Amino acid sequence: MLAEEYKRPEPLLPKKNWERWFSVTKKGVGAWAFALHRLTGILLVLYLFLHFYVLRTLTQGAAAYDNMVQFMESPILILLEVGLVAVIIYHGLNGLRLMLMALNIGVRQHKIMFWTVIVLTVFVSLIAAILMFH
Amino acid sequence: MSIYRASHKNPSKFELYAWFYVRVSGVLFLLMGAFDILYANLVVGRGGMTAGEQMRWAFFPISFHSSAIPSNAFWQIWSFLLVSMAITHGMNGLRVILDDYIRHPLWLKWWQAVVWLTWAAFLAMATWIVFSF
Ligand code: HEM
Repeated sequence: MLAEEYKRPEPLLPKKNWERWFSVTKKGVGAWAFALHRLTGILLVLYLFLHFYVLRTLTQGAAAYDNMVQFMESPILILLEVGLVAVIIYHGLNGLRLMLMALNIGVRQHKIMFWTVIVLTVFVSLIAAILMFH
Repeated sequence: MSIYRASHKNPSKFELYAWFYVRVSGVLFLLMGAFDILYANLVVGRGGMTAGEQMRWAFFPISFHSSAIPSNAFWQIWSFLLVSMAITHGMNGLRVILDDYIRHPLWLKWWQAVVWLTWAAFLAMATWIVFSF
């Protein structure tokens, strides 16, 4: 089975060297893709936590909930929501890119796929921004 | 195998299944999101939901994300599947990240326990939210 042949990249450094994991200098687009994927993954989990926290207003009656919804409609919150769209689109599309590469599809085209992911992410986020600020 | 990653001292099938689960759930998120958007535009109709509502509906189709679609058993089960898979995918991601960065086996065990507990707590909250609205 394909998956059995897969191994996560081994840590290259024997000692704790956290910053090197996110370091993208001189390592090419793959390192950017990885650092961004990890960062967006963590952001999405943090967002999930925050969202559940906000939903506690559901237990505090209709007035508290409406208040929260009203707060969510302020421009700065809409901007954050557009940011969330960008984060999830990047993570989702780059996830697809990773899966294709694990299936041995497009490994040679991985750079062009990365830039496609970036362009699509920017494009979708712009559309979302236009629609949501409309 | 790695001499540096603490958890690799006892290899098991679990890592393989987790790896596979991340891929399957990732594809499902995209397909389910596409279905939600199509539903909002084709079944509810254009203009039935604002852009913000559609976005929230695509991420998590639950009645309080839309003024146009009332709660029913189908959407409850659908969104329960979605959110429980997302929690599992995300918490597994954190587990992998811890595995990459924490070298001391005891600290790793401790943080892994925190991740498991958080996973269980979030599943419980998600179940309550989905089936109450
Ligand atoms: C939109 C569809 C999604 C797809 C296609 C997707 C795909 C993936 C894939 C393929 C990986 C493995 C990356 C690797 O092995 O290096 C991954 C990791 C991860 N995902 Fe997702 N994901 C999606 C949504 C989400 C959501 C909604 C969350 C948050 C709840 C999330 C959180 C994470 C985290 C924390 C990781 C670990 C990152 C790492 O190990 O570097 N993902 N995702």
